[in-house]
Amino acid sequence: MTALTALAWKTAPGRNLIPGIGTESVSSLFLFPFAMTGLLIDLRDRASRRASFSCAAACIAALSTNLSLMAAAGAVSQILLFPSRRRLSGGCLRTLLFVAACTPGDGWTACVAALAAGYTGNRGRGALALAPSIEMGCNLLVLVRTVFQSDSILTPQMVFTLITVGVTISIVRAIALSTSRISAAFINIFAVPYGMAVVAIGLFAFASAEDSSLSAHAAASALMLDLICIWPAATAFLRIGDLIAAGGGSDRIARLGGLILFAPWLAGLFAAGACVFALLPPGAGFSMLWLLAETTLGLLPDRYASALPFIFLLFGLGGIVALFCLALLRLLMLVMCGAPRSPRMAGSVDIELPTQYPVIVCLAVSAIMSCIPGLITRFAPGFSGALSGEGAETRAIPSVITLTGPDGLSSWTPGVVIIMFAVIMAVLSFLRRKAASVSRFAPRTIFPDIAPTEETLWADGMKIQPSWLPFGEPLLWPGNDMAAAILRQLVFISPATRDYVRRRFFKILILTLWRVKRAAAGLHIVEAYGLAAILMVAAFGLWIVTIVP
Amino acid sequence: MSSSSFFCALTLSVVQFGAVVLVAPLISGFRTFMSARLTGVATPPLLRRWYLIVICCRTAWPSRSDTDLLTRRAGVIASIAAPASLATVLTASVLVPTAGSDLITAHWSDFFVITLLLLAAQFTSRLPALNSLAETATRGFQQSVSAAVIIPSLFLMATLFFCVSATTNLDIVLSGMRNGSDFGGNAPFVLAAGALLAAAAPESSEPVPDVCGPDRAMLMLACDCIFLVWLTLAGDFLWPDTLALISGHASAARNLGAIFTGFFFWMLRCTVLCIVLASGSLIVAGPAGRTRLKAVAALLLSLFAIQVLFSSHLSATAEWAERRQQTYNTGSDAP
Repeated sequence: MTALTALAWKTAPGRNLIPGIGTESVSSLFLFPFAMTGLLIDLRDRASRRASFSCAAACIAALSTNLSLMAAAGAVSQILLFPSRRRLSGGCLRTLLFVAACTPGDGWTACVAALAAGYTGNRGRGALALAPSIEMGCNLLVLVRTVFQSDSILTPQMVFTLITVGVTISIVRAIALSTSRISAAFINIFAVPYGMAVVAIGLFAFASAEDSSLSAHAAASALMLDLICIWPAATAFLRIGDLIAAGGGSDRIARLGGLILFAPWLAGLFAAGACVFALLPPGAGFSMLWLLAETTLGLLPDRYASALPFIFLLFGLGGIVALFCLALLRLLMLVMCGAPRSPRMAGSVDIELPTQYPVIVCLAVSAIMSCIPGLITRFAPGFSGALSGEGAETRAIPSVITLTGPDGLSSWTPGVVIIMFAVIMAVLSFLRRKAASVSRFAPRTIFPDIAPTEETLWADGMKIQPSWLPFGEPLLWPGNDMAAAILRQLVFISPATRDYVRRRFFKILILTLWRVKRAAAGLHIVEAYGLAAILMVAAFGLWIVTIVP
Repeated sequence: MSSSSFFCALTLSVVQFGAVVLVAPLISGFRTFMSARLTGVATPPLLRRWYLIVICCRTAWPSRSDTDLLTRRAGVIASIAAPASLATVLTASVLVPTAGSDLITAHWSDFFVITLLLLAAQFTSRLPALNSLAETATRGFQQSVSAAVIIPSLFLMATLFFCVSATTNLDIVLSGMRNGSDFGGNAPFVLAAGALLAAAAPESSEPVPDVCGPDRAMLMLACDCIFLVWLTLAGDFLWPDTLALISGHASAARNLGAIFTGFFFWMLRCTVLCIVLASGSLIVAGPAGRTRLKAVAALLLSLFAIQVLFSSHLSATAEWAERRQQTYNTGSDAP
């Protein structure tokens, strides 16, 4: 809340009271995600103090108007979250790149730092699980400062690199579909909003270079939505992942499962986070996706050849949505559904109320803010430019609950869809309850003599399904590799099919050779009648020539 | 919007909402009927789907003491997923013009919103399957993958609509198509409708066997509504002229007649498209092959539609420039 108040404090008289600190710049918006990350730190954790200081340093970096201060604060915030001496190389390299990107330059270093930050991995359990939020946030901060605030205009090559980097990060992170570690799965999913933010920055740079103020404003609005609505929810999602791993006692997905049976509150938070975070309507992620797609469409040139890169970008966005949804579904299936695959998971308990509150606050703030996306877009740079550009006299100030595309005709109002959904859901729930209360028939039993269940003498008399096998029917649950196997089967042709195609090809080749050989052997017939045929054709030609005047 | 237009739009939206719920199982039953007829097996009656839904509604969940662990767990997920899936698809159906345009929700009917809401409903309806044992869960995830492969093609279709109407608002796009496009007719939209038809092709509309009672009925109804809304979208792009136009200035009888005609054509469109899909189901392919076919068909059709649109756009622009040049020459020759 303090962060939100500070953001609105851009025109206050004391905004530049502390030298080197100010709230006028776009990068000060990063205060909100960093503050929310700090909120999620569990103070009972061993690394909580380090993580809290790291968040504070990141907040100072966000508010700093001086590049040196930003470099120092950002580097400190990243160094504080280094896990151990053994896994330092990647983190050190990224911190060095971050500091290098803070120096005034042409922007290529910021692009490279953004690319490197996209591959941030797991730093550890507890408070260190939130490290990717700080590290990716710092690198995004420097990229935003380079693109939005520096005087140098980005070259087209740099813009192309930025957009490609964003899409590549999001697609490569689809490795969440096959990973066996829950922390890796959550971090991979967390990286998708980061990739989308990089794409939004690239589109903003392109639209600014093209002097398209409306498209530039839409791209900047997508970035704002990402920072204010999606980033806190994504960080809360990281925290939920850490809580699940801690509750289940293992980082391996194969040892978890059945979370809804043992920790309903945690499972509920997991589902709520997935709903807020998902790129499907009416979630907050969809608002950002919609703005990105509309910006890309608004920048579409008239010619087919020049429009092709934008068509590919839209195709890439679609691919990201598909992979992201499947990764979320896989996690839901393996963690929340099914049965516990280890005794430790079966013994897990639900989280306590003090642990729940920060996550609930984060998700609630994200959900509420996503209902007023029009208000958030007013923080975006270029808002006044978009209102005063071409056709300004016919353009009204957009509503706080509606997002409007750069074309001015397309609009997305999440609140209305949520209300419609809630009303229909309430009616359906009422009807369901009514139908359940007046249900008269029990499910039909096909073989009434056979008992539907058997009572075990162990496990507190738990009832199991009848067994067709001597030791009972095995309960086989979907494995880790199921999603990857299905996708592999879909994309690559299976060896059986390949063998079939190869056999068929050779069969056709041999048949063709045999037919050519037979035709060659039968040439003597043509040879015998060939002269007569040629003479006849020549005679026919002469006859035509003579009768045609 | 005048008060009479508002009233007409509201009435049309409410009637359309009811019609989608009522007709969806019928259309699903007709598709099953046609598939059975074409493949030469015994054909089930058209009303069988409604009969099953009603029977499921009147069947109670087994009492808690009789149930095993699997059934109880399936009950928790299904009791959330079934109403959520049905509510999502019904929200999407309110935004899609079925019998007439100018609905009360016309302002919010964005192409991205509608299609991704439908996909969200599809994913939600598969959640009880993902909660089952390996075989059912694998099939459920395979069906989710089959739904997800369409998403990139949807973005390409949005590009197509944006190229024509400079917006992704469905109502404006359909109005533009009804008024006749200057750029090479509606050939690209027929291809886009084909791509949407590929998206509509259902893998299976039967919920998991573990779920029973009203939840099963809701899941069945949700699957039918999802299929019908995809079909309606494809039909809208295929034949936009059949959508009724409601005017505040026309008489009530005229508006009523237009709405009835619109509903008649909607049913006709859906029936024809069902026959097309039933014929398509004659192609024998495994589940992976079918998903692959679906993805490739939707992708190729969308890409081809964009290419046709751009080529016709360019030729139309060239013709327009030529005409302009001729007019200019005639003007300069004149004294």
